[in-house]
Amino acid sequence: MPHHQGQLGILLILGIGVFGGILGAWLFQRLRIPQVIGYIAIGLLIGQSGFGIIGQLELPTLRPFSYLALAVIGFLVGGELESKTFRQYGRQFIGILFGECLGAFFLVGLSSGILVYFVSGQALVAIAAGVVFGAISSATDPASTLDVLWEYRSKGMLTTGLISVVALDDALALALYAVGTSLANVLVGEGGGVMEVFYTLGVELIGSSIIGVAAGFSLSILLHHSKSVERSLTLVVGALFLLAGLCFALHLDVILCAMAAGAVMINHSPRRSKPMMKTLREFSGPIYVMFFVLVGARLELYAQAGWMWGLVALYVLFRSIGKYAGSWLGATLSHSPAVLKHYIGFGLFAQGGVAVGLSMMAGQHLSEVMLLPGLDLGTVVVSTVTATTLSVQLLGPASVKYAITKTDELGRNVTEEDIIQELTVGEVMNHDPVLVAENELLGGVFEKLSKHDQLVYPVVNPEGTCAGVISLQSLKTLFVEQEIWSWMIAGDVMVPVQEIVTADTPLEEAMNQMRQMEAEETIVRNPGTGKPVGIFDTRAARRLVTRKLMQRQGV
Amino acid sequence: MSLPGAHLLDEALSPTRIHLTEESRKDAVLEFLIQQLGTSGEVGDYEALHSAIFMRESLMSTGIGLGVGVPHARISSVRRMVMSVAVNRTPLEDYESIDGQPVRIVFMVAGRPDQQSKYVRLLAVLSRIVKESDNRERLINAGSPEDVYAMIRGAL
Repeated sequence: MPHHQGQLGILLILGIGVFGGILGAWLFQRLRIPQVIGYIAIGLLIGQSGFGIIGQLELPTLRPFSYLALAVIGFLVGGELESKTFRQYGRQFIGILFGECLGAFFLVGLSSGILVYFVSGQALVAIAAGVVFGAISSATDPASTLDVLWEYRSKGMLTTGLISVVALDDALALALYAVGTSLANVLVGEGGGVMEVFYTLGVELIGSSIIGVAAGFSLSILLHHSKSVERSLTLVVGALFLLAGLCFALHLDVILCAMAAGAVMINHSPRRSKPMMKTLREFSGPIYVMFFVLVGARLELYAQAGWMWGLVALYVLFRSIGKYAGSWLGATLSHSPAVLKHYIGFGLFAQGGVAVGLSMMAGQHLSEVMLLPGLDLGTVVVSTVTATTLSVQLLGPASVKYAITKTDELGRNVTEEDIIQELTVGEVMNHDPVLVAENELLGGVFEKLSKHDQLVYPVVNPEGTCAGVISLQSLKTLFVEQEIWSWMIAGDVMVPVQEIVTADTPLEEAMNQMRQMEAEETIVRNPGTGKPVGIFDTRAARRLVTRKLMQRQGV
Repeated sequence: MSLPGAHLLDEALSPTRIHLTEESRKDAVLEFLIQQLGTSGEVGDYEALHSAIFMRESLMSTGIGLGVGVPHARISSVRRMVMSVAVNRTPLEDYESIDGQPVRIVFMVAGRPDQQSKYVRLLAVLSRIVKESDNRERLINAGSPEDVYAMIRGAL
């Protein structure tokens, strides 16, 4: 039945998208290029500009999915906005935010305006085009930026600054766009739309924030009654479905809305929110992949006039310069640390959903403004922003990686659990254990015990094979029975080895087993020869993990 | 019973497992005592006991000095910690004690691997008893197993 075929078609496309995206990410990661570019590249390949597997028919059907993905992304971005960070660096971040937004706005506005003037010969249309292009160029894509930061486990001042700035500049871009488009309409004689645009965007900004904040508070209260992280996650995912649907229906900004909810939650009930955010992030992998594949699939590479390619080039060039110089200026004026001043600009090149969304809006608002016979300003804005989005989506993640590499923040966002997952018992055990011969008199054994801090001692036979084990615990009774030390031997008091771990056992599994056995130390044997190869001490393993963690975090 | 852990010895010992022997070799005494324990009803696997006792001797002689031997082993088929005693009429020259002296008194003890604490305490009690030369003399000169039993209990 066609109905069923359609549904299966979407599932098949989702499957192809996620698997294709993972393949693309894998290929690009091998080239040391951020995975998000791989997702987009696969999207391009299977999308409208490529093989057309995801075509015009499927894209509208998948639109709600992109909304949900944006809600998840927005929520997680909001979850990174802790008020304590703002109390400390708020002034600097706001300085950089205004610098980079206005830098791109003015440089892109000026350059595109001049080009449009030369093409059309109409000053007012050129100014209108410049203002709209400038406003759109000020938005930065939080999704791909965040994906790179997470992929490379980045942590530090630059990372915090980047997250805060990309999270907030959507709102500023929307405000600039409202002012810009209204001005453009006034200039080109479409004055009737001024209030309408202000109203629409005002409602969008304020409405999104109010709903987001309300959702954040409601969720916080609900989380207080939730007994487990799993239950909390279900609650949050349900709420994000609701928010995405509501924003879709009311034409609100889903990122802003979800971001407000995330920010309220992390600040209102941080203890409950953090583990839930972590779980949501782990669970959001396929959503992210599919979202970026769809971003790529949606991009249309038009066969367009030469001057429009020039416009694309100017837009990308001056947007990049504007973002970098503007953030540098903002950072300098707000007395930001050097790391922000010199590198944050590199992290702000990505352009995504907000810019494309605004260009679509402009496409409608400016469709009556004719730039050349048969070519309206709305169409020029849509096709230019689409083409520039493609360019900067490929450039942006790579330059984010450059920035976090140069500032040495890459790989620093690790936890003890991450380190534990990377290690095996063989990498943390004591490779040179003190051994006890099976026929060694207890007197000699106690002398060894007094000189070493092992808790367990492998007892070996003449072949070197582990015959048993003597633990400090099991020798307790012997401390007071010293008359037998001179004639009893290690073999008399050893106990059989309990094979808990081998050198190849993952550390996480070994730690869990030791916890269950309520043991702190155990012998590690070679499974083939039965010879002892080390002592696994959970306390020493924890010390090593802490040391590695501090090294990685640069403490 | 004033010695610490004396009750353990009291529980493990029975007059029926005390013998005055007339062997000339260590192995013969050990075989005899193993058989005593094997038929006591407290040891399920005779072969395992035999093998464990001789394996222990191969690691180091259980001749603890002062003419005393304490062969012992822990195996899982022991139901209750149990011991047998042999007072040999002639000194066992081949016992290879740690002080080089021939052995006259042999205590054989069998326990389970999970009875480490009790086992060690029982061996320690035996060690304390034979440390006294009077006790050793009385054991060697005992006229019957009952005398040996009474003497041991009296020393506790």
